[in-house]
Amino acid sequence: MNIRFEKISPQEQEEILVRSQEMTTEIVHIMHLLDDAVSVVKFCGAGNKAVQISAKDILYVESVDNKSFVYCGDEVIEVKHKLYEIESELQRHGFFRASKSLIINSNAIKRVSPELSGRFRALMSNGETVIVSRKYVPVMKDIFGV
Amino acid sequence: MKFWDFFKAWLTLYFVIASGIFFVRAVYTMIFYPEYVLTNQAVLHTFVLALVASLPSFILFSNNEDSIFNAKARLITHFVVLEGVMLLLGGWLEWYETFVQALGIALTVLVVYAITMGISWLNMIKTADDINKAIEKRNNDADKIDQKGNRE
Repeated sequence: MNIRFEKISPQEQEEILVRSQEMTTEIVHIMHLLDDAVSVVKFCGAGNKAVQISAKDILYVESVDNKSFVYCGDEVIEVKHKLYEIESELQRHGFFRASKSLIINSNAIKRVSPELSGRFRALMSNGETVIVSRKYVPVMKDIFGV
Repeated sequence: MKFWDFFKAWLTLYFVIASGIFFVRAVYTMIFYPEYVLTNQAVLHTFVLALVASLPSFILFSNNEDSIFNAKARLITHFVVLEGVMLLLGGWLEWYETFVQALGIALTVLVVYAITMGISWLNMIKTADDINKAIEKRNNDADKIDQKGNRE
C-alpha cells in the first residue's frame, strides 16, 4: 500500500483520503487510528506535565476557583489552561460554551430538557446532567442546527 | 446576561406590551364603543401602563447565573410585584371600585401571567424536542457510517 503526501494551498481543506478496492478490516483499523489521532488534544496538566486526551473522550470542561478541570467519564484531569483557551481549542471538535464556567462536548449529549428561567438541562453520555444557561442556548441551537 | 442585553430585551418587551394594549383597546372600543375617539390621555395611559407592566421584569435581571432556587424566588417576586403594581395603577386609573372588581383584575393578571409562562414553556419544550431529534438523527447517522466502515 502506498502512503503519499500531497501539498495543498492554504485555502483548501485538509483531508485524509484512503483509496481502496474494497473496505477491509485492515483499512477500517487504519481509519480508526487516524480518526483517534486527529482528535487528540494536548493539555498542560498538573506539574507542567503534558497530557494528551482524545476530544471524543471529554464530556465537559469546568472552571472552578480559576482552575480548569477536564471531565472524561469517571476521570477528572486538572489542566493549566484558561477556559477560553480550551474553548478555542475544542470548538472544532463540537464543543460549545454552556455557561460562564462550563464547556460541553455536544457529541456527548444524550438528551436535553427545559429548565426554569430559559435554561436547559443536558443529560451527558455518562448519566451526569449539566446546565446550559439562557445566554448560551442560541449557541447550542446553532450547533444542532435548530 | 449583561445589563445592556437585558435592557434591549426589556425595551422590546415594553413596546410589545404597549402594542398589545393598543390592539386590545382598538378591538374593544370597535365592538363596544364605536363612537370612541382616541384621546391624548388614553395614549399616555397606554404608555404608562406598558411601562409599569414591564418595569418589574428588572427583578429577573441577574449578572451572575442564578441557582434554580434563586430563579424560582425571582419569578415569584416578579409576579407578586407585578400584581401589586397593576392593582395600584388600577386604583389610580379607577379600573375598580369594589374588592370583587380588584380581585377580578388580580385574577386577570394571574391568567395573563400563566398564559405567557405557558407559551414560553411550550416554546422551550419544542426547542428541546428539536434538539433531541437532531441528536437522535446524528446518532443514527453515526451508526450507519460505522456499519459501512467509513468515519467522518
